[in-house]
Amino acid sequence: MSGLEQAIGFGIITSAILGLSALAMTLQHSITRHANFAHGAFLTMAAYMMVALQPITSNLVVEAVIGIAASALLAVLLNVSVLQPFRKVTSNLTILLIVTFAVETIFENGVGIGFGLNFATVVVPTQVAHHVGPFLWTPLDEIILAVAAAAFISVFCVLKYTPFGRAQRAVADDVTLARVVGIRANRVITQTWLLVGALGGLAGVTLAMTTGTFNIQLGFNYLLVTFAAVIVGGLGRPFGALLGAAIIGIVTELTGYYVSSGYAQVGALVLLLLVLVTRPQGLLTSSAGELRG
Amino acid sequence: MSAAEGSSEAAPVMAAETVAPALEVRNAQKAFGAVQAVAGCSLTVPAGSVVGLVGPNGSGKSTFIEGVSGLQRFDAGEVLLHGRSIDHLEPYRRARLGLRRSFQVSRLWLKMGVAENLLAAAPLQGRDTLWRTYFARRSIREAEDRAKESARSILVKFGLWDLRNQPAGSLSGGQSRLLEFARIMISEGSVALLDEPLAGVNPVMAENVAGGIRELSSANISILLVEHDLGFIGDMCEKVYAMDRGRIVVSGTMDEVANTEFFARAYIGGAIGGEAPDER
Amino acid sequence: MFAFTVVALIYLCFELILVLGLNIQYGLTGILNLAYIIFYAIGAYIAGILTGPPSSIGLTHIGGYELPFYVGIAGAMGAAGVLAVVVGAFTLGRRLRASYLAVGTLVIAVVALQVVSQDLALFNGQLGLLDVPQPFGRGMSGNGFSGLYCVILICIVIALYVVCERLRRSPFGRMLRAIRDDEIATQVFGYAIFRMKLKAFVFGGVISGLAGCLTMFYIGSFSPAGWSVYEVIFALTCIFVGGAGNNLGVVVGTIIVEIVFVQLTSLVPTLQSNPELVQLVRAGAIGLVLILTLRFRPQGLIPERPEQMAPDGPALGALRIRPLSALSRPAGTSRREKQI
Repeated sequence: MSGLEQAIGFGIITSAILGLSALAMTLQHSITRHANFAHGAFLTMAAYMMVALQPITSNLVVEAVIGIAASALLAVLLNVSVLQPFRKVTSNLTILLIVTFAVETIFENGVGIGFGLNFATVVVPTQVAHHVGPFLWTPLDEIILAVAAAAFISVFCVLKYTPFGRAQRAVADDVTLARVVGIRANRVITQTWLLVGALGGLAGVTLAMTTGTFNIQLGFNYLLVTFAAVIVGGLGRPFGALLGAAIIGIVTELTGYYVSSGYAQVGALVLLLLVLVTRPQGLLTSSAGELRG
Repeated sequence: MSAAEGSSEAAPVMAAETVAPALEVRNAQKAFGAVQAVAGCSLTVPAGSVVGLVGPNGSGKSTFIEGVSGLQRFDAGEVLLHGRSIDHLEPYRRARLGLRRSFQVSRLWLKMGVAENLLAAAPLQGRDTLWRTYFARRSIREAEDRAKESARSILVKFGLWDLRNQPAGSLSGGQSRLLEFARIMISEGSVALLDEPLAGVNPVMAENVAGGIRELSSANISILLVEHDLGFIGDMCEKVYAMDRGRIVVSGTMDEVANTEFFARAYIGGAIGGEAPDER
Repeated sequence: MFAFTVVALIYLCFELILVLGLNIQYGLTGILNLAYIIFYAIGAYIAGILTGPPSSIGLTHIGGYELPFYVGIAGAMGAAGVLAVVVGAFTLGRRLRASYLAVGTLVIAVVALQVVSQDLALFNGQLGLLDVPQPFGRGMSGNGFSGLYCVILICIVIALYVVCERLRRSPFGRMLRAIRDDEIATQVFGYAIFRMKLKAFVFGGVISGLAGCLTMFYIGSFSPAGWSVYEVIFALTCIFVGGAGNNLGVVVGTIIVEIVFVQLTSLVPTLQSNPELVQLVRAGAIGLVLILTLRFRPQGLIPERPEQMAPDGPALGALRIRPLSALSRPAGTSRREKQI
């Protein structure tokens, strides 16, 4: 069991969590068409909800579920109270982007006011790592892997086979056209945001439980690797999000292993920069896909 | 010139003068995945003339214009501006050789004033360098004065004088179109691609748009005019090309092509693929 | 009280310089550069290592040449300029969509922050540079130095304002605004937009470097805590509150935001449980102000006005203003009309 194989093992867990966040972002981008710099808020919200609930209950599942629900609601709230009113007055994507960044600033500092700048922890029962093939995983890691896989499969099935999924894809493609054929776009959009928030929340709780200590910047730090996963894999394609997450997860752990743990994230971000300048449409979109302007 | 199927013919025989045509496109092709949007189109705009391009929606006219102006690249074919090949050039380089265009939805500099839009389009004469902004102020001032003179007369010519200080974003559809034409004129272009100039223009203003196009033409700008309204095209253009599904299907003067089967089929109400013209 | 005012003015001037530079990039040219702060940082660090003492135990960094302060200023602005060329060439030439450009510049900023924070040999990591000398030697008392520095800064700000305003009103500035308003339309009129955007980018970056250098000379130390992405949000807020694009607007906006936020939020009590409450409230409030401004007054307090063209001018003295309907007559009569 070499260090390299262990690093890859960690990379798989990292990729699983990142995949949740990237899938959430891909869904969000499919309906908003602009980047959401407040994406990290969904993760931070769920993580801190768990922290807040710890004095009340020690049942991690309950804490996690409530955290995820809180994130889902936050997502809908973000759309209804901020994004929709703004979209009525401007279609300038840069402005909308700045608006999401402002929301992120307000949220992050709001959480800081409530919880302080110190590191917080979510108490998790002590874990003993054991070998699964060449990898070194704890039971928590395995649960997270299973939950993430279940989430991916269910989201894919929903998108592909259910009426909601078809409606969602129609709305993502062309809202006006979708309304014309009778789809209740507003309802679909709200439900999509719930899903986005839930997936982000799930990423947040799993991240909180695996990293041990975290602070209010949890979400914002994860924002960038999420961008990395989504852009590398190809914006707008759920499968691309997972592929990108896998790549970024592995690259992160390998950089941490070969260079130093402090530079782990830097490796992923440098890869993102390289992709941005060479092939911004990502790995899965064809080169004809990108429009100018 | 007969109304023949001419999808890959070379340029028609020119008159005795050896002036190169203002614009010549030979066998342009552009595909998007499996869809062949432009499938071998050739046309010629003789120097100083106004040539029309008509065709139903989806015939590939817009893709064709995008390819000629350089914002898209043709997969194959040649584009010649005044006899000079430009198909490997970036849009701004094509513009420097004299190519201009207007857009189906007017692209103005909305926050800037109407007069400012003209000044920003006036030829550079070296005013574009950062260095000169600070260290050659007198020459900049002189060039600016010249540009302002030009702008004044052109604003008047296009009837935009009273609007000169208003933000370009406050103009109506027809006024925006006239501003686009005014910019083309002040920029001293020699070939203009006008992409559906009547789009978004109140029918009452159509005559003004026609007048604007005539102003451009009388300033010796060769024009390729893309439109749906056959009456409009007939009034303005000496020669017309009709495009369908990516190819040129007929070409000739308006009288010659009006009797062809293609036009008879499509000429129900006077427009190909567009709305029927309003009563005039 | 006097000392407090002077220090407040000094920090206001630093912010004014930063904002004027960002206004060139964003307000004038439309480039949302979330990495703006790294030029500020490199200006500060280079000024520090050029004028400061060599490395010592616990304070490792490159350089330390103890050169005069004017070398520090030149070096800072030069380094910022070079960095701006590199970053600009990387990010501006790719026809990246707005989202990608924002993400790309944000990533550059975060990577820079992480690398500088972790690499002790570069600029002493998280602790940063210390002991950088004041420009005028050690002869002055604290208050005297502050007072003099304040006067110098105000002069610099005024000079910079004149420079930026000249740029905005110049033909080059007009073209930058055209790029901002519609890049494609500018392209099809023959402008080499990449080159122009790069020039604007470097111009703003150099100004940012100047701000960093001046900050370093005043405080004498500089660390990653002094530059974060939040600073760009703060500067953007100043720009939007005042009026993006026009220099007077952004100056007014900066003065209002800086004074209101420095004054009002210093009233927030320092709690035991949350010692950093003040800065959290401040940062959250800035986000709120930004959103409210963008929603209800996006043009700012002093909106950008179109350049006015005066009615008089020699060529038009005898000309009658033609009504629009005149255009519908055949082309032949158009030239004759001028003599009426």
